[in-house]
Amino acid sequence: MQDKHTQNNWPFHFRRVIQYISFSVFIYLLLFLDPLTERDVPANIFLRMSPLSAIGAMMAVRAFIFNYWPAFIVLLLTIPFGRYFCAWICPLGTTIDITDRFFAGFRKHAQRRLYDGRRLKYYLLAFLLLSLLLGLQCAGWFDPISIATSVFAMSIHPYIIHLGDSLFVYLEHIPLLGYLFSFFHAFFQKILFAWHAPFFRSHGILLFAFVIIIAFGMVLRRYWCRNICPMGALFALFSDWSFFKRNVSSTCTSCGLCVGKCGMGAIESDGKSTKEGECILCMTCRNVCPEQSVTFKRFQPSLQKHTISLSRRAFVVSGIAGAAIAPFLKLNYRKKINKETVSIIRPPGAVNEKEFIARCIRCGECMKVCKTNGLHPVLLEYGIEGIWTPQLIPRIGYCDYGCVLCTRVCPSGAIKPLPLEEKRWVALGKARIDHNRCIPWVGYSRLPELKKEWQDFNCGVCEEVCPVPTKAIHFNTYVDEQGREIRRPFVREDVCVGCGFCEKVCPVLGTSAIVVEGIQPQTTVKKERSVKIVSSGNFLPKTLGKWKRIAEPRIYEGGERLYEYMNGGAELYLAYSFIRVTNAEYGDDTGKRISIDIWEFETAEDAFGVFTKDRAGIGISLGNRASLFENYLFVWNDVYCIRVAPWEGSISGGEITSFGKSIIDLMPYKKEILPDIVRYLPEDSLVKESLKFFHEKIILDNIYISDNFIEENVFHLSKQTDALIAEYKTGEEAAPLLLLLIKYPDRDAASIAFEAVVKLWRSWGEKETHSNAIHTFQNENGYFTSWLQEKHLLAATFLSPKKEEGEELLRRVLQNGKIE
Amino acid sequence: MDDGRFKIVNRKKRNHRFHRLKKNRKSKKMNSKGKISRRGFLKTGIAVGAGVYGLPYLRAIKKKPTLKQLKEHDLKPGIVVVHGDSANANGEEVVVKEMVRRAISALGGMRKLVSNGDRVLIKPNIAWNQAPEFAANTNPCVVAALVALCKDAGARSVMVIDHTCSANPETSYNRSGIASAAIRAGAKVSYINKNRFRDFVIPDGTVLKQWSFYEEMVYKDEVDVLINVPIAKQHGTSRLSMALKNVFGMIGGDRGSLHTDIHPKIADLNKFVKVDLTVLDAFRILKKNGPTGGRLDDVDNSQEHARRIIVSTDPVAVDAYGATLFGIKPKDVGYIRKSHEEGLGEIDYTSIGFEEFHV
Repeated sequence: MQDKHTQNNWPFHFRRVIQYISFSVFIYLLLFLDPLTERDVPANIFLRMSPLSAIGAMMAVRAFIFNYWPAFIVLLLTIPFGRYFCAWICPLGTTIDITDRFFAGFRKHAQRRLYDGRRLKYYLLAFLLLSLLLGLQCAGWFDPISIATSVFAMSIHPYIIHLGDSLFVYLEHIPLLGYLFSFFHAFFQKILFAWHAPFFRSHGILLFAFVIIIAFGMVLRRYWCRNICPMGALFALFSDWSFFKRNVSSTCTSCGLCVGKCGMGAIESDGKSTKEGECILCMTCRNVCPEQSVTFKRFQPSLQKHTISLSRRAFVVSGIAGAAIAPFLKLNYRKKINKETVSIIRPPGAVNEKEFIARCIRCGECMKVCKTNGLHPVLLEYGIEGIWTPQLIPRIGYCDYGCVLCTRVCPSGAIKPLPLEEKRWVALGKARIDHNRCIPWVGYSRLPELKKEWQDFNCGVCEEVCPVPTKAIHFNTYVDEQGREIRRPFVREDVCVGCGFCEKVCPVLGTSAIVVEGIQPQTTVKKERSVKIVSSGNFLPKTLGKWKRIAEPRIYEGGERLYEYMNGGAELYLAYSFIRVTNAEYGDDTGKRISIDIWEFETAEDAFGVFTKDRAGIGISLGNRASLFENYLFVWNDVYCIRVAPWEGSISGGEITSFGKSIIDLMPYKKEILPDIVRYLPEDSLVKESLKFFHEKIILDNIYISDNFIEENVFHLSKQTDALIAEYKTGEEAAPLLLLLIKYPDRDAASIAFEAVVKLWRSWGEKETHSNAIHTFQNENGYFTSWLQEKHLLAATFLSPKKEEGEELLRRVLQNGKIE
Repeated sequence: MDDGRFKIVNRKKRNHRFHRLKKNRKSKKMNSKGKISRRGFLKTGIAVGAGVYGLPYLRAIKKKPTLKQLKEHDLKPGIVVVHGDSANANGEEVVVKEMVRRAISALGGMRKLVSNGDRVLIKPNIAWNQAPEFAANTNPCVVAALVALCKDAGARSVMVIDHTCSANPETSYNRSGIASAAIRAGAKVSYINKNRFRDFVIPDGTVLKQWSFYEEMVYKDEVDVLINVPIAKQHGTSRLSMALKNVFGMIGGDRGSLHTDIHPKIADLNKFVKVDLTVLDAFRILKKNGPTGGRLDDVDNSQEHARRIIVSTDPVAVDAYGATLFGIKPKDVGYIRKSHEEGLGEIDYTSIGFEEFHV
């Protein structure tokens, strides 16, 4: 008897071997997911074997997903083999089998009965399928392979690593023995990739759900598989044609051994009949039967078939529940406000949001594979519907510019596979700088009150790490009279890819000062053009006296190119009608080098504006206007603004000037045309070199006109406005008085600006006085700012120590009598 | 439908209850066997607690590690610049390795620095997940050549390690080509272990009084010779990133917070680390959009600005020379000036002995 028994149990052991092999493969693929995916191994094969996910994703998007072909093989094999998947392959089933062993004692003591009606899973399946028809994807939450993947990857693996790591660190401190532990630790770290232990938010929630699933084992074995698993129900529906149905021969003594051993509780108490669709071919009954009376055959005597009674009413109820709950779960106020998007950052290659939410089967594979640990599950940010879909949280981990792993592992195509070259142009979101948190911006607005510590406000980590080859973060450098330099970062939205590296590294504690907001659908950023080197302009000959040109001049045309030439500060030039800048270098025999920039603008006025903005030093007679600061030369000539700078070797101001002169000599002579607004300036005591002409607010931002930083464009400055700022001498010792003139296209625009300005100054609580049309405000330190509007002109004097001086200057603007 | 089975279960349960009653009757005797008494619980609790709590104190038995000092060597004090030329990419490996070899031998040879049985730590710049041609990381050939030279000089072990800027070091190590090149040359390549950062007091720090450094780079019993192998790059915050700035890869803590007022901080960090030899890779230099790069247009590998290997025991001199490659005067770079002023090295690199030759 005993011999016969041992000879015949091979199918049971064979099944067990297959089960553990497939479980080990599952764990292996999960642990080594990223190196395997890098080598293009289809490590997501288990997820693609799930027919429930396959049907779920396909029904929700109403399209065939070819990637799911293994699921169809699994389903097709169900026809000859029945519910083999549950006992032979399913990783969750194996996990439950293992944990159930630990609960054997509990089960013996279990006093309570638990619902064990087998129908529940069919109703759940019906509910899921119906809600899928309504476009609600929740199949993933109940798919056993998705559950196993996310539980092992996102809860258990990190726990083991963290626990193991801290245990070893502790043990390594033991003298002598510690060396042994260090050795094991290094080995352990290599195997489990514990150098950078992953962490996932809401790992506890996941673990809690998992504990519930396995805790049922304290009462009944494989409770999940018997009563809940909708995939089991799906298999059960197909298992009726199986070639391997349980047959009990007449030798059966109804001893009840197999009844107790059956993990699924599929065998009726007489030991003969089997519940329909419940047998998972685990072969245990065959193994334990002392009489060898159990066989698996194509035909099952009808008496041995025990049908599960499903009530039509319950199906109707679950259908109605699906229909009623689905739209309810889709409610989300954030989506409503944001036009169907909730500005969370999806992984690169994510399809448009509506399709994404339908396709994503919530398996967590992309989060597991993410090298920087940046992908995390969404909790309730997207409503109930979006639970467990992936989201990039840049503060924890950014999207690596050279990585495409998540796009390769997605089984359902919610994340499209992207080649690296394409992925680099995909913008997941856009970074924005919070000026109230950003260190340099805060420093800039507080600059007047800072004495020594201004260096502490120069930060640029975001610019440093920006992986975009031309940098999406640039500096706008501001230097005040005392030489204090603040480099304010700004984001170029057109090239920002929203990778979040800047947000990750921002040294501001708590919320980063630069935050990436997701955009849906993801866009492609403009691809850069290669540097265009055009043959030399007319004004830059190959030789110029002793100077020889080195290489071809480089021409940067249009705003896009200017950013490339100037790392920061380009928008100061774009605030004028910029056309192009040509740069060339000249050298002589002694190794001296000179660099020359010729800036070209649409109008001579704008060229004058840029000249006034940049010039420094003493005025000299060259071109229309020129100034020399040590050995730096600035020239305005017609629509050109020229800057000559020493590059290498010691070059005197004289050499620079004569070089500049020979350049100007090549240009046709032009009569000096000043902007119209200049004639409004009273001439007495005007500091001629102090004039600055501009159009847009960004230029005014760099001029100190008030203690408060003026964020909003209250002056309504734009391309259409002409503005002028000039200094007036008020005495030998005293600081000069600042006069601002803005000319608007019409009178209405001027009065709107005037009201906005007065309102702003009032909002700072400054003391206000009026005399005729002039509004004067006195700040806490006793300085006076006066405002006047006359027709289309707005005029102001800033921070004058005496009230009369400022008002008097404004009156002189009026008396100039030239305002029409 | 389940009636039969439940009958069995119920019968079992009845039996079980009966057994339990019997057990309860003899529970006092059972205490010693299967269960634990109150006294026993307290005893074991105290014993285990004392053990767990006391174990770390055993650490005190270990010798307290001492800090590494500069290794005594017979190398020449000057700075050596080797120019190399390779028009085609195939010749690069050969040329670069030859350049490094000649540079070191011009300084006196590796044997003058590395003695038999020394543990050498090579610290290249492996900060970014970027391929070698973009000049964001040190050229792998330079690292490989140095590893080979150290091995030849009799080093017991050569370790290549960097604290990357990428969150996952693996990507940078692999993409930069340094991991594979160093392993091929016989080095041990390792990632930063977060548990091995320790706070140290910087004795004469002006702005930074204390910071966390990587133990393996600063303890005497972990490393004998420390070789810094940076690459010359433009850098947003500090203007240039070369030898002195490369020390950021030896430290832990919140590195982002160091970027405000960075120049004196770089000088302070350099006061603490004891770099025995600096090898600056300027074979390709990154002139714009650094330190990450990613555009070949920004990489300069012309004969007049790049194609060089600069070697010296004085990191300030190396950086001063490096700055000139970018057309910047050394004194205009805050941290180079500061480091010179605080006695870390000579800014006027020609004054300590300057040697230049072509390979």
